[in-house]
Amino acid sequence: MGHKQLSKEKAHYRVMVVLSFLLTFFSFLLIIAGVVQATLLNASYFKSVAKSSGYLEECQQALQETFTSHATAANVEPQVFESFLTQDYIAKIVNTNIDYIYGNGDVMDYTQINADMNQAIIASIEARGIEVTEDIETGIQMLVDTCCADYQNNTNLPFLEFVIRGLEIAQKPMMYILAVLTIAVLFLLVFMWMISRKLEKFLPFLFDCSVALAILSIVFPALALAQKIFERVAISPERVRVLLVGYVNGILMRFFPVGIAMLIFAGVLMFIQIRKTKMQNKNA
Amino acid sequence: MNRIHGRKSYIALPILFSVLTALILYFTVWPTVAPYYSLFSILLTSEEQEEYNGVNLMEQISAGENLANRESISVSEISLPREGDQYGNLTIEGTSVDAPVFYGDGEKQLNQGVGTYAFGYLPGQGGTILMGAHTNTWFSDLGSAKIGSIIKLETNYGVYEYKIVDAQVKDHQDRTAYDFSRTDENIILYTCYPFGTIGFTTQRYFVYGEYVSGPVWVYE
Repeated sequence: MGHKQLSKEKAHYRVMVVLSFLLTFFSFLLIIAGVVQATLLNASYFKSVAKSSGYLEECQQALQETFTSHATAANVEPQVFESFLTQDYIAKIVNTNIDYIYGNGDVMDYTQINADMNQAIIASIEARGIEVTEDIETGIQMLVDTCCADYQNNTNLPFLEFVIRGLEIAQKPMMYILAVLTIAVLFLLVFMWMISRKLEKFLPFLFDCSVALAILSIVFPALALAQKIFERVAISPERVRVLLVGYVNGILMRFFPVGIAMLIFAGVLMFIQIRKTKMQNKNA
Repeated sequence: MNRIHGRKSYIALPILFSVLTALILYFTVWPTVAPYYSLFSILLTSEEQEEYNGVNLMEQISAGENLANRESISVSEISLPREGDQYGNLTIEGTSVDAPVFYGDGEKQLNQGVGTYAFGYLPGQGGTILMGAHTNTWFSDLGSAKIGSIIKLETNYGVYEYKIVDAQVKDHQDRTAYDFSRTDENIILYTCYPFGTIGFTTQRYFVYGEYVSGPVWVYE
């Protein structure tokens, strides 16, 4: 092989290295964007995390404690709140809040809960043989209003609305830009391959990209999980900590299937490459 | 395998790509994320590593220990209560009030006994101690407390007595009901009013007591 031919091959190699790095970089950004779309910007995912992380139980416990105290202060039987503290009941409120945050519904309306609770308390007072005077009615209404405010205080998700709305604005253009960039780089790589017309000069770079993506998709979330993000950080109140731990871990776990898929893809490329080389050697 | 893309490249290049990607992401994304992360840290994190359920500091007092006769106590000797701890017991002469006293006045503490307002003072500290309890449970008989009667507060570091000097009904938003700028030791007990009422009320029954005895905190 002549000196000129070798230099040309080296230059070709360098361009391929740069292009495959760019492909890795943009593809990884695209993977991140995909995970964000499937998790942070997905109301259903949020609802499932709220259920599986123990967030609903934490909300229920906090409300139980508050309502018991209110019942004692108001001389009302605590049992009257039982039907308003079931997990299904709280899940309904939490899900409505989540839908509102994601722009899929209106803000939680407590009018019906307010009326139902008022009715239930008055019925329990009357069952005790106490006449419900105007003063008592006013006192009960104050109690019910406080309970509705407690629902809101104990099921709200601080700052999340702000984060989601910001992400929603940025996500779509970002996805498009990344997709275009990734395809452009991929096209350039294919173009380079078409110049050389040798698959064995093209495949190794795709293999490098796939392995790098697998490393990024498996190792970094694994490191983050190993350190147990947020579990060591003290977050208060407890319900927010429980939710954040479940949420962040869930998002990181979403990278693993991508990493495994990339490893399988790299394995396939390696297999093709080895077969190709073997066939070439045989022909030679 | 390819002549130029040697075996080493199959290991080195993926590692190089992933490290470079991680570094670029770190240096470009972190400056944007950092302020939000700090904001979250400030607003969401607390000093408590785990949820604290409180302990009963009164159980730590040994049987033969006489806390009543001390006139002063060094702060270093005191096991200061954390929010949720039961650190005392309160009785009022001439009434049936006999209740455990907790530090903090959240719903959890009010469900269990008398709550101490955490931004006020503690017995012996030399300021206004504000304590509240529910009118239908622990303070149901607070209305029977007479002027001149003694409020006895046994804590894990000493026994305190306060003489009732006044009792008043005030609105729950009336800030003249308590004065935390006072530099003399005094106690204020409050509960919802009228007693035995059903539903929430806007009125509170306040009982005011002046310091009689108990170990004063000494800062060394």
